[in-house]
Formats: sequence, C-alpha cells, structure tokens
Amino acid sequence: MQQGYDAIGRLSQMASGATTYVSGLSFNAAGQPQGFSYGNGVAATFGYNQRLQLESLRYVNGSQHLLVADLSLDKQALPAQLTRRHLGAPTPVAHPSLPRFCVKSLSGMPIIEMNGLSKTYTAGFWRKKEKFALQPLSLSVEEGEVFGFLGPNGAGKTTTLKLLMGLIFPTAGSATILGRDCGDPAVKAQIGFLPEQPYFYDHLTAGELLDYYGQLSGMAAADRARRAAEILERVGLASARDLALRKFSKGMLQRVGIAQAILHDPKVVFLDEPMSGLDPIGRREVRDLMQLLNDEGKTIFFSTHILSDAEALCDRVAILHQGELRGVGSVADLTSRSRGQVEVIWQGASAVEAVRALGGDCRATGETVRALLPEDKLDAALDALRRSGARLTAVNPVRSTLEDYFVERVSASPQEVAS
Amino acid sequence: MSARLASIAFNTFREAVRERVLYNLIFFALLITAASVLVGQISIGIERIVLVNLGLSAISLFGIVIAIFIGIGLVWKEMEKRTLYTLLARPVRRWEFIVGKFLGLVGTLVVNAALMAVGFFAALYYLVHAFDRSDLHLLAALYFIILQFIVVTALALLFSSFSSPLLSAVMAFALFFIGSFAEDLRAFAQMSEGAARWLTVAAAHLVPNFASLNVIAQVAHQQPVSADLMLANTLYALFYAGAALCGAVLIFERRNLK
Amino acid sequence: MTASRSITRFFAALLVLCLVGSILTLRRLDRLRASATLEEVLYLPSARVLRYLSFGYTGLMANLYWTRTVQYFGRRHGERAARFDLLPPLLQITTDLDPHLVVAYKYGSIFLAQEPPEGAGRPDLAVDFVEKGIRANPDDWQLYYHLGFVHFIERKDYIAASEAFRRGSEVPGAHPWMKVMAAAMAQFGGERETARRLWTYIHQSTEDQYIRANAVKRLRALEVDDAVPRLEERIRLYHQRTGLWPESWNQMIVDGFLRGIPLDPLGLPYKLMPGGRVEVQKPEDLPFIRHGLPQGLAPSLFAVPDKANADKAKEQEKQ
Repeated sequence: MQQGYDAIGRLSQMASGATTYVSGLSFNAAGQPQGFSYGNGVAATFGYNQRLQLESLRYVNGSQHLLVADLSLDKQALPAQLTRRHLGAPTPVAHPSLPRFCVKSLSGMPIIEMNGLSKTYTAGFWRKKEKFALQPLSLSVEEGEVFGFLGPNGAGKTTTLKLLMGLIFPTAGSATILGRDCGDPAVKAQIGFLPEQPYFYDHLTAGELLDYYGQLSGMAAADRARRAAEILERVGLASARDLALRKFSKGMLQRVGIAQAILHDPKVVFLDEPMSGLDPIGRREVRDLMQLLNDEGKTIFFSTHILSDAEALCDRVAILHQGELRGVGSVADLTSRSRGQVEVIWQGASAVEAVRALGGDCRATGETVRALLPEDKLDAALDALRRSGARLTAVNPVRSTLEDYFVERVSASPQEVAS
Repeated sequence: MSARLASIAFNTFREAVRERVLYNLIFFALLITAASVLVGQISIGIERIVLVNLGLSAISLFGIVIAIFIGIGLVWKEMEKRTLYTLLARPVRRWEFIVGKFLGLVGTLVVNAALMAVGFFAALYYLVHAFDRSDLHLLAALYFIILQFIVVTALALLFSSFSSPLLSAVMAFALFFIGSFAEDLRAFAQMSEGAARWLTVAAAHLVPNFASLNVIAQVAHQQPVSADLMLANTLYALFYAGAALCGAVLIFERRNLK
Repeated sequence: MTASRSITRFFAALLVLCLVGSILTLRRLDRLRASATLEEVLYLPSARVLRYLSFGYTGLMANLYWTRTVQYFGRRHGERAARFDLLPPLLQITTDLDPHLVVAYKYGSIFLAQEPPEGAGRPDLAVDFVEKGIRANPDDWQLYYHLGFVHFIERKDYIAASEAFRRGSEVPGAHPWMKVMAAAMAQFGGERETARRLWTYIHQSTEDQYIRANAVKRLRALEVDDAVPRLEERIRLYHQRTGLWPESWNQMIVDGFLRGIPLDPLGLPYKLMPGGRVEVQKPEDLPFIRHGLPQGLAPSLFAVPDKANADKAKEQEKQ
C-alpha cells in the first residue's frame, strides 16, 4: 500500500467479550474508521457495541509512518476521528471523546542506552567464587516507548535496574540515560523509580513522604503541595494522605511507590515488577496508569515476569535469562507471526461436516462449534458456513503469543541465542 | 545542595523524635529532680558540686548513648530496609545523604541537651537560689559536651556505613572509653619501646580525645575554662569529626547497595 | 559510572587534611592540658570514689594512676622542681586502688624520700608509705629492702634500717644478703654486739662461701676495732703511771699492765708503735678495720664508721 492504514488489532464484542483478530482499517472520506478487514482481505464494517483495539496501526505515506499504540473505538461514541501525529510534530491532538486514543510516533532517539553493562559478584571467603549476575548487556530504549524487561525470577532484571539507578556499580560497561551517565545527579531529576517491594520510612505519612521527596527533587513548596495532592488522587490514595506508612497495605505501598516515582514529572519512569503482589483490580489500575503515563509522553521501562501485562502494554520487549539477554523485539512483530492456522467459532452444528471435510478440527459444545483449520482454507469454510446458515461468532487467527516466544528463547541454549 | 542537606537533616530529626528518643528527657528530669532534692540531705557543703557533676555528667552520658545508638543505624538501617532505593534515585548525592544525616542527629542531640540544660539550671537555681558569674563556666562545659556529641556522632556514622549495628555499637563504646583516657594512652605510648612504639604512638593519636572535652570536674569547682582551650577543642572536634565523616562518605560512595 | 572520581578525590584530600589538623590540634591540646590534667586529682576526694567509678576495674585504674604518677614525677623532676605536692596523693590513690601494686611502693618510696630536685624530700612519708605496702604484702621481702634504704640513706637512722633488714630477712625466700645488710646497718649504728651476733649467725648459717668469708672478715674487723682501743687505753694508763711510753709488750707484762702478748685475729702480735699507738702487722689481710691502721692509711670505704668512738672523740675535742 502506498498510502493508507496498515493495522493489526483485535475487535471485541462488548456483549459476549469474544474477540477477533483483524488487520487493515478502512476509513471514510471524513477520516472516520468505518470498517476493517480480516487477515485474508475479507472486509467488514463495524457493528454496534464493538471495541476495536489495535495493537499496531501504521499509516504509510511514502517514507513516513506513524505507529498507533492503542486505538479503542466505541462505536457508540462515533463519529470518531483518527488523530495523527506526524514525525517531528510536537504535540499530539487527542479527541476528547476518545480518552484512550492516542497516536504515538517514536522518534527513534535512544533515551536509555546500555553498553556492555555487566555485574559480577564475588562470593566465598577468599572472594574467589564469581557469580555472574548480569552478562554484558547492550540495549537501547527509544524515547516514548514502553519497554518491557522480561525474564524469570533471578534473571538479572532487578540487577539491571539497580545498575541503571546507580545503586550498584557495574563490573564493566556503561549506561546512559538522556545522554548522560546514569550516575549523574542531573539525570535523576528526570527519572522516576519504583523498586520491587518498595519500602518507605515508616514514621512518615504518605503526604509527608511526597513532600520530602519533592524537596529532594528540587521542587518548590507550592509545586510540591499541588503535585502531591494530584498524584495521590491519581493513584487512588487521596484518603490515605495523613496515614502513617507503617499502616499501609502492600497494594497501597505499591501505589505510593508509583506516586513518588512520578511526582516530579520525570521523562523516564523505571518500574521493577510494578504489578507484583497486587490483586487483579490493582493490576488493572496500574496497567492503565502506566498506559496513561505513556500517553503523556513518558518513556516507561519496566520489568516483569507476567507476560500478559507485557503483551498488553509494551512496544518492545527484551528477554533476560540467567543474566543473559536472550531476545529483543517489538511485541507487534513477535506476536504477529501467524502459526498458519485460524480458529473459527460459530453457532449451528450443521456445517460441521463441511468444515471437517476441508481439514478442520472441530469441537462442538451444544450449538457452539469451535474449529481449527489452515489459513488458506478460511474462505472456503466461511462460504460453507454461510450456505448452511450458521451464525458466525468469531474468526481468530491463531497467533504465536508472547509466551511462545518467551519459552522458546528461554529454553534455547546460549549458542542458539546468538543466532 | 543546602536545601537537600537541610531536608535530609530535618527528616533525620523528625525520625528520631517520632521514634520517641526524646522520652529520655523524662528520665533525666526525674534524675535531676531527685538529686537536687536529696543532695541537701546526704552531704554538707558540696551540694552544688554534686549537682553540677551529676547534671552535666548525665547530660553528657545520655547524649553519647543516644548518639551511638541512633548513629550506628543511620546508614545501616536505610541500607537494610532499602529505603535508600527510592531516595538515591532522586538527584541527591551520596555525600549529601551522609552529611545530612550527621547534621540531623547532631541537631537532635543539641535540642535534647538544650532541654536538659534548662532542667539542670532550674534545679541549680532551686538549690542555690542565685546565679553568679562563675556559672558561665557551666555553659562552657555544655559547649564541650556538644563537641563530644559531634565527635561521637561522626564516629558512629562512620561505623554505620560499613558495619552491622552490634559491632558498631561495641566499637563506638570502646572508642569512647579509650578516648576518655586518651591522654594516658599517649603517655603509655611515649613510654613504650621498639617496633611497637610507632604503632602505639600512632594509635594513641588517632583515638578520639575525649579527655580534654570533659571539664565537668573543673566547673564544678567553679574554675574557669580558658579561651585557648575552647578554641583548641573546637578545632580538634571539627577536624576529627570531619575526618570521620570523610571516611564515611568515601565508604558510602562506593558501596553496592543490596 | 563508578563513584565519581572528583568526589572521591575531594573527600580523600579533605580526610587527610582533617586528620593532620586533628593531630596538630591534639598536640596543642596536650600542651595546654599538661598542667591541668593532674589537678583533677585534687577534685577527687578519695580513692573510694574512684573505686566506684572504675566499675570494678580497679586494677586498671591503679595502673593508670601509677602511670600518671610516673609522668608527674618525671615532669617535675625535669623541671628541677622543689615541690612535689601531688606525689603523695597520687601514690595513695594508686595503692588504695590496688594495694598489691608493689612497684608503686618500691619506686614511690624512692620518689618520696630523695632530696629535691631528685625527689620530694619526704622520707617520713616514704617510711609510712612502705610500711603500708608491707602490711598489704607481707610476703614481699623486697619492700623491707626499700624500707631499710630509706632509713639508711635519707633518714640516717641505722638502727631502724637494721631492724627493717632484719624483719625482711625473716620472710621466707628472702635473699640471704638481707641478714648481711642488717648486720652492716647495725654496725653502722654502733651496735657492735648486735653486729657481732648477726655476723656470727651469718657465718654459721650461710652456705655461700663468699658470704661466709665476708662474715669472717667482718668479725675479725670487729675484734680488731674492739681490741685496739682497749690496748691503747692500757698504754695511756701505763704512761700516766710511769710517765714513759712503753717500748714493748714485754715491758707492760713485766710491769703488770698486760697478761700476755696481744694477738690479732690472724694470730700475729699487734705492733706497739712509739707514742702509744697500736697497729696491726698486716693491714692488707684485715679489711674493714678502722683502728690499728698504719698512719697515713685510710680505712677501707667499706669499713664501718665508728659512731660510738666518733662521738667520744667529738666530746673530747669540745673539752
């Protein structure tokens, strides 16, 4: 396509929650999205009560391309207009009725750069035993990205974060943030950090802690008070402002941690296992918050071992295992790899035989049938279903998930990793 | 920079207060009251001497114990509890952290001593019903006690930057005890011979010199404190504490946090 | 990315500066305090208070105070001071804290007894002090030794000195020379009978050949010092009666003033010299004698001054 939208996303039915993978988006003359197409090019228009969540949307116009992180259209809120931010344009213009819609372009400028960063601990009485907490790691994170740092426990994620924060010193290599060495105090004013299982001064209240940290970040008194109130509101702790931190639950502490990380409006936010220890509601809230922060233009660098979070949030991920970098890539790329199969779900048992004949593996539960069949047979199957009067519920390409990629990379031997 | 130092110092002070350190004042108040009331009944002619000795010694000892017990945890506790993680991620230099903590604890001790001094002077007035010029020397003794605090705090902080609280406490108390006899130690060292001599002389000069900072007996007998001594002591305390603080900073700057 | 190098350099330099500064100031402090330190002693009313203050570590405190005593004494001595006022209280405190710190008694007695500027010039205090030490440490014979010397040298009380040595000699394990010293002191004191008894006892009891030989010589000297004045007395009597000095012993025997030829302890007859003097034949074989020496020959340094006869001579001169 010379000009137009190239998209990958999910269309979900609000009522049933069933989702369909789609690619491609069509717009009317007024620039409103009106339809989509399936991976094989079959076009359809939006129905009611549908939410379109695009994971990757590119507008291609010659050499320019824009990347859309998240596009949720609630059909009931139409007309919706795509807004776009061209390369180099300073600020995005967001449509007020679409708070979750944002067009984001990545400038390609690395905001965090790690060069051969490694950490070795010596243990044992004579300091002879070496433990390679982090093998030389070279990585860069672009401005405006949400970057996920994945790995099983003990992989070295926290070590990397501590190195970046200047809490421990590397055995070799270096890292820069915003163009300066990561130990430089000037950099610290522009970054925020949430450690794993954060711990704060017991004797302070949440409000006092934010005030104290605000002072240390060089914020003026009036600013501090205002921002603290804002932030507490934002993380949902407004009522706990005068409560002593020693009385906070784990989830509340996590929120305070986020609050102090974003208090001074940093450009980059580092989070170590931000979702750990939270209940599903808490996790959802944190995820939404992280998304919001990214919408505001902040770069998010976070580590986690929960892949679904990474899949939902990240632009790119890196996979770490036993101190080694095992893989880097954009989520879109990694999850767009089709496995060559399609899953079709419909109501109406009559078409089962026809689909089976095409080579599909069918499973019926009452009236609902689920079938897996090769991609190239999809058209024929859909025809068969239409002919038999079956009611199509969903068509989902079976894609490799991030989990697949993760497991593959983690179990690869070091030699394979290098390839 | 100074704003950050003040901020850290104030937070250290606040922490000490909220950890109920100032409750020791109650104990002191009881002690001094009991002393001033009872002393008239158990001895003749030396009430003032006993009260001054007791009061000033208590102020000094209480303060030093507090200085050690809080000081040894100042850095250690933050490293163990990881409160430092979010703190050091802010534009705070590590040395500012150390100096700020130092100032905060010294401030706490000064406030503590000042409150005690008020109680002490009240008890003294109750006993002698008048102040005279020689009582100014008491202020000199108090000033020296503050200098003691400065030295002890700096040492405790130094230990805190690399050693566990138990070991730090032992070392700090040991140094305080040895330092009280530092002059004799130097005398011993001068008398020693052979290879050990340089070692003992060096050690004797590196031990904190608390002996010269203790003029309590002197002021109890209403003897004056010379200005020369005040100057020399001030310089000594500042230099020594400065050295200990530099040591703490150098250690802390290169520490890998857990 | 490691700790900033400029910060490290700055603080390392500051550290060195502060250390040097502290040491220099320390020396100044020591100079200022040199006179002040020990005045604290005056503020401490008694060793009892110190005892409480030392939480049971009295031995350590005693050592500390002993060191301070030595320092004090050394400084005053170096200043050629005339007064050592703090010495007695320092010594008292030291020994009150640790009565068994024997070295304090030993050297302390010397410090106290010697004439200024060598010492405090208080032998009376020294005596009391050592006696205190003896009471606390009755098994230490050396204390008696020090006591004896204080009596002997500073107080010139030879009887007391002899008594001290005698008491000390009775302590089990005492050096045999203690008896020797007791005897010698007694002789100095003019107590010849005591001396004779002691020397005889030594002669009989000692196994040391040199000591025995010495005792023999001493006894012989005693004999000579007894015999010669008696003989000279007899000769004066002869001169008084006859108006002439005798020419020989035989003359005196014939005239009834002597019963036989007087023999010295070596078995050799005494020599009768003109003018009524009596001399021994071989003075070199009779060390320690005072009488009967040829004219011009001074008595041995180790000969005991004849106090009794010296007093008599003084009286005669007066007359």
